[in-house]
Amino acid sequence: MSMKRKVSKHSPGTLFPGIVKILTRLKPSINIFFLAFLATISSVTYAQTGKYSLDLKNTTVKAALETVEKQSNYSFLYSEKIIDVNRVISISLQEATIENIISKIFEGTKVTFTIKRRQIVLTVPDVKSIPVNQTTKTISGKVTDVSGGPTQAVTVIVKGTTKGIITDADGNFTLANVPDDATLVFSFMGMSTQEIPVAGKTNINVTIQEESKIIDEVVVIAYGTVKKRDLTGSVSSVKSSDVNLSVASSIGHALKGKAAGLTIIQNSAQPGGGLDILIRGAGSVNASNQPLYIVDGFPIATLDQPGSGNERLDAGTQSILNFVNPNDISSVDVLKDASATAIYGARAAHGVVLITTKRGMTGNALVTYNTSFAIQKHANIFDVFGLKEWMGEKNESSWDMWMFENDVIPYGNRTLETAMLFPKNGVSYKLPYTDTQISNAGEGTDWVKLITRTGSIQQHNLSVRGGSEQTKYMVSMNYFDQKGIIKNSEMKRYTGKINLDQTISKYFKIGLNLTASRIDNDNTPLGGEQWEKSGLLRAAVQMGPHITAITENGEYPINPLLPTQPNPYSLLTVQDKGFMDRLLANINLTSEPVKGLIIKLNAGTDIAYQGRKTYMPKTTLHGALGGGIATINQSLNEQYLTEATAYYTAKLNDVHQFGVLLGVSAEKFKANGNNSGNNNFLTDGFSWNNLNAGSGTKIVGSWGNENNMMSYFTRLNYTFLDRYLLTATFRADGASVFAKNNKWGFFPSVAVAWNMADEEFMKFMVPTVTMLKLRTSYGQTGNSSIGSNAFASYYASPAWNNADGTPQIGVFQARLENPDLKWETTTELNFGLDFSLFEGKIGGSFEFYHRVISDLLNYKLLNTYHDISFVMANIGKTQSKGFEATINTKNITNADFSWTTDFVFSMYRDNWLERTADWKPSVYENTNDPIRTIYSRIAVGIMQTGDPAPAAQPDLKPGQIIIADINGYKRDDNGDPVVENGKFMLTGKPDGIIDDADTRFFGTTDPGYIAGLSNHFKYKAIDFNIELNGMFDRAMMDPTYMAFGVSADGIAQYGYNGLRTLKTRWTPDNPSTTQPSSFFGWSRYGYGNWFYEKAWFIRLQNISLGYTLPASTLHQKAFSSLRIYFDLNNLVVFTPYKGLDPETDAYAAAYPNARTYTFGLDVTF
Amino acid sequence: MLIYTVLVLLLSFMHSCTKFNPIDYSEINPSIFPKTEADIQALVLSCYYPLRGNWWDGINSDSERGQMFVNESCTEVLMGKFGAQKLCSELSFNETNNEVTYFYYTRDAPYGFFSKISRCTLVMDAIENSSLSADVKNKYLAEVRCARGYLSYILFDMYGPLVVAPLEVLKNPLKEEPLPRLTNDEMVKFIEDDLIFAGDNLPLPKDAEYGKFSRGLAKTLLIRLYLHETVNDKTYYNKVETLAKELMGAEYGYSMVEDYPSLFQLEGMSKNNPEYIFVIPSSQAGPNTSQWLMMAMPPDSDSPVKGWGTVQSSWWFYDTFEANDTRKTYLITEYVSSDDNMLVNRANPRATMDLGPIPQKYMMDPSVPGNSGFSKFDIVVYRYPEVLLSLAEAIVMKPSGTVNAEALELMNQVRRRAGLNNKSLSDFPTKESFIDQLLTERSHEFWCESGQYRADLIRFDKLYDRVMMLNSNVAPYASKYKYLYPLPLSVIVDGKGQVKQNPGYAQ
Repeated sequence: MSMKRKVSKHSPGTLFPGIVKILTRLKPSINIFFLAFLATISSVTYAQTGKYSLDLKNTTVKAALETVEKQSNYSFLYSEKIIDVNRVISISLQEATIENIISKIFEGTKVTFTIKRRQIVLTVPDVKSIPVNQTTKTISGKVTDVSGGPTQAVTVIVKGTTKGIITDADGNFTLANVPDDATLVFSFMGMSTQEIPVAGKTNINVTIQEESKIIDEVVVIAYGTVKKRDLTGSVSSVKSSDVNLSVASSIGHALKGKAAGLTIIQNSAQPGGGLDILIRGAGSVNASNQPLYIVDGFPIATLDQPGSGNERLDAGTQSILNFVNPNDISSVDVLKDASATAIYGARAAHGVVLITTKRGMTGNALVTYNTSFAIQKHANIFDVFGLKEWMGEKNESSWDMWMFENDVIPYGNRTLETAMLFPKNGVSYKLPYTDTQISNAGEGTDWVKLITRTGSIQQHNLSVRGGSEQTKYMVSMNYFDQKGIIKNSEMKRYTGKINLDQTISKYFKIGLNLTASRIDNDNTPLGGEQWEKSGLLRAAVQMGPHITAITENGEYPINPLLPTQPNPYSLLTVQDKGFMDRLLANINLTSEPVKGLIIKLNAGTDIAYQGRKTYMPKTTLHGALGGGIATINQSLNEQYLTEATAYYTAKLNDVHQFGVLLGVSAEKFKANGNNSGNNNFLTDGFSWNNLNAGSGTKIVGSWGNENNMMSYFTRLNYTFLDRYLLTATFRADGASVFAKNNKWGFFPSVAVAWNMADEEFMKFMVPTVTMLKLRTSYGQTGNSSIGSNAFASYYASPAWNNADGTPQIGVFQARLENPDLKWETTTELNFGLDFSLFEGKIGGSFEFYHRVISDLLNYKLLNTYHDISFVMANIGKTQSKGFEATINTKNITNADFSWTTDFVFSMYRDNWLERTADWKPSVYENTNDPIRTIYSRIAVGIMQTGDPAPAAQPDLKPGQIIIADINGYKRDDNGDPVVENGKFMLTGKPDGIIDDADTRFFGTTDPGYIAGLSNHFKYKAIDFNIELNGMFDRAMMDPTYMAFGVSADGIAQYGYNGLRTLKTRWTPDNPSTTQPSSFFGWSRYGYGNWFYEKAWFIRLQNISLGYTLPASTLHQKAFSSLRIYFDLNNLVVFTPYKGLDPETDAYAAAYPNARTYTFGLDVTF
Repeated sequence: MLIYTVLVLLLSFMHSCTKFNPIDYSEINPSIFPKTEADIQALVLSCYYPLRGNWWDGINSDSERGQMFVNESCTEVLMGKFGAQKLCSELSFNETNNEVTYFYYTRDAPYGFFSKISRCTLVMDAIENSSLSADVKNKYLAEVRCARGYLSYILFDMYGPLVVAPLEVLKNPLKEEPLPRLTNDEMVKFIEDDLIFAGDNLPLPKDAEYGKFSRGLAKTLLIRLYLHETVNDKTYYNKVETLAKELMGAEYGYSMVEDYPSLFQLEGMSKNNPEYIFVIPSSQAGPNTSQWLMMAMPPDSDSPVKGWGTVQSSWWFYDTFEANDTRKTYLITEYVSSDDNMLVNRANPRATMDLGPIPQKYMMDPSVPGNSGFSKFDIVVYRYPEVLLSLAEAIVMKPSGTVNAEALELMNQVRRRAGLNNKSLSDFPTKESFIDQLLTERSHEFWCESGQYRADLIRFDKLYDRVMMLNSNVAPYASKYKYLYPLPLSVIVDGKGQVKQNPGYAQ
């Protein structure tokens, strides 16, 4: 929530926060009015005597103070605006007290000082004489941050004077002789300045607000941090304080629309549901398009739930970031271009997501507790027929179907009389329901209602942060529990975290990050599969309302016309639990043996123990068939990292700044697992807990693999005159997954940046332009995600049965070897422009990139006659081009009211550039097509009764879709298609045949544009946020409509239910030009692009309203700050798309997206 | 001091990790395989694998993913209302129907079957290159060539000539090399060579393990191949005659059991049964599984097996049986619905018997529920009457052949075992009338076994008319070119012009 004590947390120009002497400096030219030269320096040796010696000649006051700090363990607090620290002095004292020394340093000035604990606050009494007729007062008060924690080192100045002071460690200040009509100005690095009129008060308490001054913002990059101003690469940075975490099961869920270049699509609306997270599109075609995730310097494994072993139990997807408590996160930095990512080498091709967690800080323990409770309702739901309506549809559709099947006019050329006399297969038409039956019918079963519920989310988060100069800690605990809107779907998370920073000696410092988490998933069968593998939702939409949910005897009837499909209500008796115990631990040792050189050793591990246990009881159709089916799957995934880095910085002649990083890392990846199962149990009571009690087919299995990786990397930073910046990186990766001829990959990058605003010729623009930086980068990254390895192998598996039924084991070829296989290489060129205008009121970045991925890793299709007809190979090139924009504006800023806006926009275009030499394209595929294409025939209309069948579609029947004959195969004299250069050729002219020659490129499944817009308002104690995100220029078919909304064939033949949209379908009596007949899918010519809908959307993702109780109403003893809020998530989606949700409708009857209403409380003690 | 410490630390861990060999403990490294006879045996079993009964990737599955189900659905034996069974019943499939093209090849797992011919070729090479003795090599080669010949024949029968890659091409898989389909003669020669080698080197039935290939199977398959080719050359009947007579010899030990239904009961399924030529031993735990009862039984069956009712037989087929025929024992014509205790039969057929009776085929197996739908029964594929009826046909149809007493007696042997009376020569004034009866006997004898009845009807060009008749002439997409199934389009694309689609289908 808060960004406390930035000054002590981050140090500019260094890549190792907290190690180098902390000095934050802002350039005067940037024209920030209140600047503070702050020093909160701790010296490591404590002088027992309290007497010090000092002998300095012609040195600045500043240097003198630093020397004192080094000798003593006092630190000075002062503002450069008040104290002239550049004054040159000479001083010589022996065995003097601290008071003596300070007096001597400031001899002849008006500087006074007060010593509080180990801090010495320097200040200057009034310099401007105050008119005697004015009344003056002594004013005291306390400065806190938004979370209520005391804020040290805030400059408090009487406006228009140099009179001022700095707050102490408890955030307190006292200023004497302040005129009644004066105004106090409170300022602090990284926080917005506040002006408070004294107006007779003697006690002024201030809560300072964090301010994102783009240029000072510290950005986390690979192996370190850098100020945004000095950044040469392309990085989108999101502070956790800017995202709404009240209902987010993972940080990923909260990042939608927050960072330019980051595409997050929720592929399932279930609790903890999976996210497709892409950085700058997806140029890889088979190798993973996932970014590399690094949590506090450790590359983590990306794990979803393990499979169940029971193919009928699809648990949907889970976000791979669920195990990280989002409240622990202080920032997420998305590294995008090659300059930022190349130092991560062979796994960074699709960008890097750096997650940084909060750390402890000096000062009293800051205890915060957040809690929220939310209820969830489905935003909209499947509109299916009720029983009476359904019976009518059954009658109509079965008649329609009988007519169609029997070739009765208009479907064929038989008269109704002939058809009735000679029905096909001898089966006459029978009306399913009489009018009486229909009028006597009851309500029927509302299957969807039976399986949905009001969902809920509750979470509790407690964190304690604090520490001394030597020891800083952050401890947190989190409990998150989401019960989804579909029964039995739930995710619970428990996390505990400790971050510890310990200074050991002058040379060493040690850091520890420890996260332990537990996730419990309660799974309900999901998925897009049909028939016997139907998930709960699909079965519920599909099951006719005429079937009873459960009989008096406790039996779950099935649909006799669809005997493979389970009763959806019975699926609620399925037990399916997943769990993950995860430990993420790393420890690092930092030392600075000589000034400017920092050596860091880092060792860590990510251990995940996962399991999935399922039991399909005899109450379910397939459970009964198997006599109860139990499975247990367990796996252990281990990753180890050891890493050493050395970083050296130096400055020459005040104009050349160098930084050199050298590093080496070794990683090991181990995974193993086992699975077991049995069926045919006496009772369902055993669940999966007594596998041996089943008399069915026992399942045993196990597996294991190991891989390793070794890397060397370096980075050089060079800054000339503070405004010409150069970064060069290089990484060498050796990986075991690569084939034998290409074990090592090399990944260089270079970037330059130019801070134009600092040039003399730009001075006239100041303060309108406070930063204007042009940057460009070029470099390479790699992708080695090809599964476990690329070597030839055999596997053993049961192949045949002996006469007695026992299995015999055969051996099969598993994989072919491709010895020349190498990693995929991404070469990226990036142009960026960072700007900050009007004193930071408008800031942002624009990025253009061009990325070529060569040596694409994919299964190359070998000739089909091979037993193994594919091999992992480097099969061509793709390119991605994109544009990203981030704009942050501070529309209104004053003490009572503020309004800020953040806007992000991104677009990318992924295309093929080059295909493998022996590519085997379908006739409609072109070399340069987009990667995720929609190829389709062109639908031109619905054939109406009486229309002649189109020449190219002699078999087309009324009600089916007319396809345009647009092209034809080039054929030889025998009529056989001609192949030239390995590709079938087209004539470009219609040929009277509808075939693949009439299929053409129609579009891509990628969104054209992605945007996000956040607005934050604050009026006194009230805060209000509104967030929108959206995707544009996008087309899709509604999978639920396709399955249940167009064709009534399912109702007629199998007793399905269907969507009410069926009422508008084409029938001989009700010809339609928009919706074809039930038999559209029976046309051998296909239905082309008829059903594609526009699917752009704008989602009102979040609205939240908060109220922070005024400090005066709080019992100071109990807590220092209290905020209550109300929050609406996913309130509305604006879209032309007619289905449930254009984002989460991944398959027919997908998990419906929910609307969430949250009430929450943030308390600081 | 500090610098040293750091250096030592750095170097020590850099050294710790210099080898990059991935380990997957679940796999076998080719550098150590195959070496022993056991290794070779395991490879030989990989050639049996595609021929087993298994929904996932066994071509002899008794489900919609098995050749028997699909091929019988083209005839009066099986009828269906959806899926492959409907497409076949109406001959309405085309090149985009994965239900029928799947058997040839699919780009998605489990990839279809024609590429498994290449697996056999590679295993043959591994056997040749092993250090085993010539005799032992021949023993294993005979099994592999029988598997290859059998698989090739099934696909040849369904799709026509295949693409068959020579060993040199297979050994260099990364090189792109589109190959044309073999000519019909080359294809026949390829299968024939395999089956002749297998027939010469496989053990006699009495020496073969139950459920493994024997000399009897290899020669029966040769008969089927030759019958298939009689469309082009009637002299193949002479070869059929020779082979059939050999198989009737005492050394093979084949004879018919007395009771037809016992062939489809658990007790009858053993090595002692002299009638089986090829049976696929199956178990509920797999890898060979039989799920026929689930496919055939209705969901409201009064038997222990409440099935999926995916397919029915046809009433027309039922009506061709004579009253006493024991071969229709397991064609179920009525049952009491477990839903409402009402009788379901031809008069009150509901949706489960409107097309025809339930083709139960096998005895009821009460252990199917509780074992995920799998039966303990083995899948019966080829039996001795195949030899007898083939011989009868050959005698009649060979050049200069006539309907004679020998042929009649062969057919009567089969009829008598079914509890029927002998037919006499006067019943068959023409060759065609004899063949019609022979085909009827074939359908009655072998329904839902080898799946070869479709080939029998095609051989005499009767399939199209049969389909039209069964559909009351409402089969608008049926055509004689559908005597061959289409090749999947991916194979055509892969062939880069070398592989031609079967005539009639779109490219």
